[in-house]
Formats: sequence, structure tokens, C-alpha cells
Amino acid sequence: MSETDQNGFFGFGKFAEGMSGGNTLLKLWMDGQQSAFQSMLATAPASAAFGGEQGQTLQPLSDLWKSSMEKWLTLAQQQAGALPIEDTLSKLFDPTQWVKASQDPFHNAIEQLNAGPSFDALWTLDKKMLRAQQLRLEHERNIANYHAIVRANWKKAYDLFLDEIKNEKAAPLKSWRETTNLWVKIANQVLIDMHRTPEFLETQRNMTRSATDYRLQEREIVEAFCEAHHIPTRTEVDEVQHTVHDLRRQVRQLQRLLNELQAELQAKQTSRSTSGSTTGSAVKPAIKKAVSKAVVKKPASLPTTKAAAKPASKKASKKTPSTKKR
Amino acid sequence: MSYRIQVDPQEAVKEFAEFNRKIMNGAELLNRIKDQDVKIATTPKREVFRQDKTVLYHYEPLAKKTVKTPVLVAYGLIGRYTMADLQEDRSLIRNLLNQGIDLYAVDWGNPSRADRWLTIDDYVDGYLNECVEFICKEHGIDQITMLGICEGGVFTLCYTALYPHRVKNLITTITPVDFHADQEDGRTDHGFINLWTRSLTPEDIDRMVEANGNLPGELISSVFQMMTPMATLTKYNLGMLDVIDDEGKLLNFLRMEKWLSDRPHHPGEAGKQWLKELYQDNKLVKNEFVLGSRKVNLKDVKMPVLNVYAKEDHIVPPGCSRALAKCVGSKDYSEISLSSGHVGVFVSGKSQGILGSGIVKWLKDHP
Repeated sequence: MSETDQNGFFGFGKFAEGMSGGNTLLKLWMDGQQSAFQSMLATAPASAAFGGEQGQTLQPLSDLWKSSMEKWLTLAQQQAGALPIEDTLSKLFDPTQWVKASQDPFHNAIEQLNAGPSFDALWTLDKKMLRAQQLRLEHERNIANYHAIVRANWKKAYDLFLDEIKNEKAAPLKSWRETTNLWVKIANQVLIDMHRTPEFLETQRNMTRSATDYRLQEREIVEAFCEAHHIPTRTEVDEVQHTVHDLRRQVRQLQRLLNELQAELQAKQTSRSTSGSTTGSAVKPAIKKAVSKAVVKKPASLPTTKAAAKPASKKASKKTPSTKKR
Repeated sequence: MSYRIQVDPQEAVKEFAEFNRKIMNGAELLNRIKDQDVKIATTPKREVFRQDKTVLYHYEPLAKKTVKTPVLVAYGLIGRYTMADLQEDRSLIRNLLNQGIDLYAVDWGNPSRADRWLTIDDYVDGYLNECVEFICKEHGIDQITMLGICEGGVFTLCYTALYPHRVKNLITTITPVDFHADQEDGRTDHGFINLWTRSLTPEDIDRMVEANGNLPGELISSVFQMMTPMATLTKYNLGMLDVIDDEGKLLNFLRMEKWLSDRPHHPGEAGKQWLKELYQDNKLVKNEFVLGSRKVNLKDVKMPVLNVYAKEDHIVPPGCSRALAKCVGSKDYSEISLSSGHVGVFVSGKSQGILGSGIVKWLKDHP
């Protein structure tokens, strides 16, 4: 039985077990949410696509929600006592916390792609390793630039949110959900606008480039190791696959040619048999021989296409309703 | 300084009580739901043809045939065809079958690094062509109707332009045609992929494919997630809170998650063509896109065309899809406009009654 089966979908069974423990509901929610996120990330198909790294991404977010609720209760108390709430608000929607939580998926996807083997044993490849280190540093710099822009925009979102909270003319916000929805709406728009700015696109491009450069350099190191130990390299495997692909395409073209010739032959035979001629039978072996000679070149392991014969001629294809319409 | 926040402490406690009630009920519900309860693409079908990783399925009929020409559904390489059959009450496939359409669907499988060299030419001129030939042979007919979805819409469009004698009718759904029309509606929340792709150089794309061998599914997902940043961040808490104690809604949510997580890698060379030749150079709409040695001329698409687009589509903005009207050679061109998003066209409750019926009505007029 899989973990999913035992614990319910995404492992929420663990969450439910906690419910009978006698703790306060709020604490249970907080603990449960956290473990549910963890379970979800451990077992959900989505996390598999991210190789588990997404868990690290969403963990701060889970903490953020816990914190958000705690602060909201404080806020409600302060409101009752007519105390200043700006401080609590800033903690509730703290942009530095959100930026941590949002360590955005693009960056994580790039990092995930870059996560490669450890090269501790390969320090003899000094030059290649040095280059890889330089590229890694370059990549770190690009990540830092990228996050500087992202951080500035989370701050901008928070400032706009605060302005909106202070807007006396707007309708009052009477619940955590209403306030959170307002924050989500404002932050969403700020982030979308940020994504369209040239500076964001440039830093993201730089980050993508340096990640790619690093990964390719990493490959060079691995290939040097492979060559030294008589192991086929990625480049060699790519070449083989390219050859197979080209052969496969040629087979497809030959198969199509075969089908066309067979169809043409059949059409000729039909027309000759109706007119009493017998010359068609002499053509058939010649074409068959030529075609079979071509098809023999097909690698044995490749599957045969099941393509049906194409229309016997252009004349036949003109019989289609759409052609008639034209 | 006064603030808009006016919280009644008692109301706050009430809100939390309600919040926790939802969580408790939701937790019980989630505990009951097993992985096997979250099934997608359950409409009965059988494999009828296979070549390499490509599989052609023929769906079992659910009603008496009302349209004689069979329909082939082709999804793209970004995501899976299962979106068209997410669940029983949200399934274009089922809606079409229930109204007597003879239906096939092509599944491109899960391309791996070994499929790096596959091009759009291989998919259109190769696999898709083989599927069409198979269907024609099976039915003893010369033509079928094609229904393309998103990138699959581009595939069917290209196929139709190259093999017009094989296509009786063409249906494109949420299909980009003019890849530079993303800001036609002026909405900043639309068309980020177009902008993002244009911000890269062709060399960036080449090197990305060289480094990874493909366009990794997780990278594609991350770009999609960036388009709805806060929805991505709040999906598993705020978003889930809205559905967590309602079994029907929760299962819908989980099925969608299942589909979203099933994002195959995009074969590298095909990915280069997709991003460089279409997103960057916009060759399709200019009739400059070449597959094999043949130019795809959309003016050769002269058969009846039905184009379905979504007004709230942030991935393929309406302008990108609607450009088809001006490009095709067909004099019989129709549109169905839906008030949903990209995926919502197929999975939203609102679209269910409109999309399937709209397509069937059009097909009956073009049997």
C-alpha cells in the first residue's frame, strides 16, 4: 500500500489524526496545514515534477499563513482597544516575508535543472572546474539582481496596500478574508506589472543564460570524466539519437513512397483490367522490387508504419467535397 | 490616522470558527479521498494505432452517430490531451460522444531526452499524418474533421494547409495564429509567454535546448505560474479553503491538479521551432513557416473552419487566435467566443453546455 493510500489523498490523513488530540482548533489548523503541505509536497504528482524542490519553496508560505492568522487575531484585539494597527498590519503582510515565500517558481525551476552531481572527485579537471565556478558565481550574481527587483516590487505592493488601507473613502474591511483578498489583488497586479518591465525581463534573461552556461560547463566536466573512463558522453548519445531520428524520418518517407507507388499501381491495374490490357502485371514486379530494395534499409528495430494508401492521384483528391466547393 | 479595517473581535472569532469548521470537514474529506478517487480521462476508449510514442485512441460511442465524418482531436506537446476529458461532467470528449460524434484522440506520450530531435515536421507530417491515414483507411473515406487544441491547433492548421484533400472541416480551439497579437486587447495580465519569449534571443533558446535536450516541463510550468503570481502562491491555502469542505468542488480541484502536474517535456527541436519561428518570428501568420521542404500557406485552408477562443485567455490572448479569420482561404469561417480562460474553455462548468453543443451544431451543418 502506498503512502498515499494510507494517508488519504496528498497525505491529509495525518492531518485528520491530529484533530482528535485535544489541542485548540487554531493550533491544529496551523500544525495540520504545515504537515499537510509537507505531505502534499512529498506525495503530490506536482512535486514529483519539481523533484521535491517545490517543498522548500512552499514551506515559507505555509509559515506565512500561520503567522498571518496569529497577527489577525492580534489586530482584532487592537482594533477593540483602539490601538494603532499599522505595526501589526506590517507584520501581517510583511513584504519581506512574502518575497521569501514567493522565491519564485521560475528561479526554482532553473535551479532544479542546475542541480547536478557533485564533482568533489574531479578536482583534477582544474580549468574546467574553475570555469564552472566562475559561471556559478556569475549565476549567483544574476540571481541576486533578480531578487533585488522582486523584493523592491513586494515592497511597492505593500506600500500600495497600506495606501489602500488608509483610504477612508473606500468601503470598510470587516474580515480577515476581505483584507487578505485586497492584499492578494494588489500584490498580483504589482507582480504582473513587474513581469512586463524591461529590467525584470533583462535580469530574468541573464539568470536563464547563466544557468544554461553553467549547465553546459557542467556537462563538459562530466564528459571529460566519461571519456577518461570509456563511458559514452551525452554528446555522443545525442549524436546517435540524431542519427536514429534521421533514419526514422527516411523510413517514413520511403514507406510513404511505397504506399504511393502501390496505390498508383493498383489504379493502373484497375484501369487496364477494365480496358482489357495486361501490361500492368509486368510493371508490378519492377516497382515492388525497387520499393522493397529501399525498405530493406530500414533498421530492424524500428516499428513499421501502418499508413494507408494516399489518394491514387491528384485527380482522385479533387473529388473531395471541399475541392468541389472551391 | 484611521484605517478601513474595522474588525469586530467577536466577528473575528466567528470567522475563525467558520474557518476551522471548514478545515475540520475538509480534513475528514481529504482523509477519505484516495488517489484512485481522483481519476481523469475516464471516457472508454481503445488504442487503435501506435507509432513510436504516439498513440491514437478511438472512443467508444455513447450515442447513435449523428455526423458521419469522424473527428480527430489533437492536443499539443505542452500538457496532455486529458484536459479535454478531465471528468465525467466536464469533458468535451464526452459531450461530443453524447451527441453522436465519432471521436478519435491522439496522445503524443511522454517525450524524453531521446526525443530531442523530433521537430514539428515529425509531428505534423509524420505522426499526425499517419493517424489521419489510419482513420481514413479504417472508415474507407478520403477526409476527416480535425479538432486541434492550443499547440495542437497549430499542428492541425499546418496539417490542413499541407494536406487539404484529407480535411473536410477544421476546428481550432484556443489556438495561437498571430503570435505577436498578444497586446491587441491591451491587458497586462495577458500574453506574458509572448513577451517572455521575445525577451530571449534565438541563441538563448538554442542553448537552453542544448543544455536540457528539451524544454523541461517544469520550466514551462514555471512560466505559466508567473502569469498568475498570487493565484500560484495562494492556491494550496486560500484557494483550497474555498473548496476544501465540498467533496464535489474538492475533487474538481484535485483532478485539475493532477492534470497540471502531468506536464511532459517538450521535444527540443520542436520547442526551438515553436519558440523561435512562431513566438519570435511569427512565421505562421506570414505564411513563412516551413515544414519539411514545404511552406505552410494558410490560404490553402479552404474548407469550413470553426475557431473557438476564450475572452479571458491569458495564455493565448483572443487577438492571437482571432487572427485566423484573416489568414485562411476558407469562405466558410465561424467563431465561438467563450467567457472563460484558456483551460476554462474545457473544464469550467459554464463552458460545458456551450462548447460541445456549439461544435456539434456546427458539425451537423458540415456533416
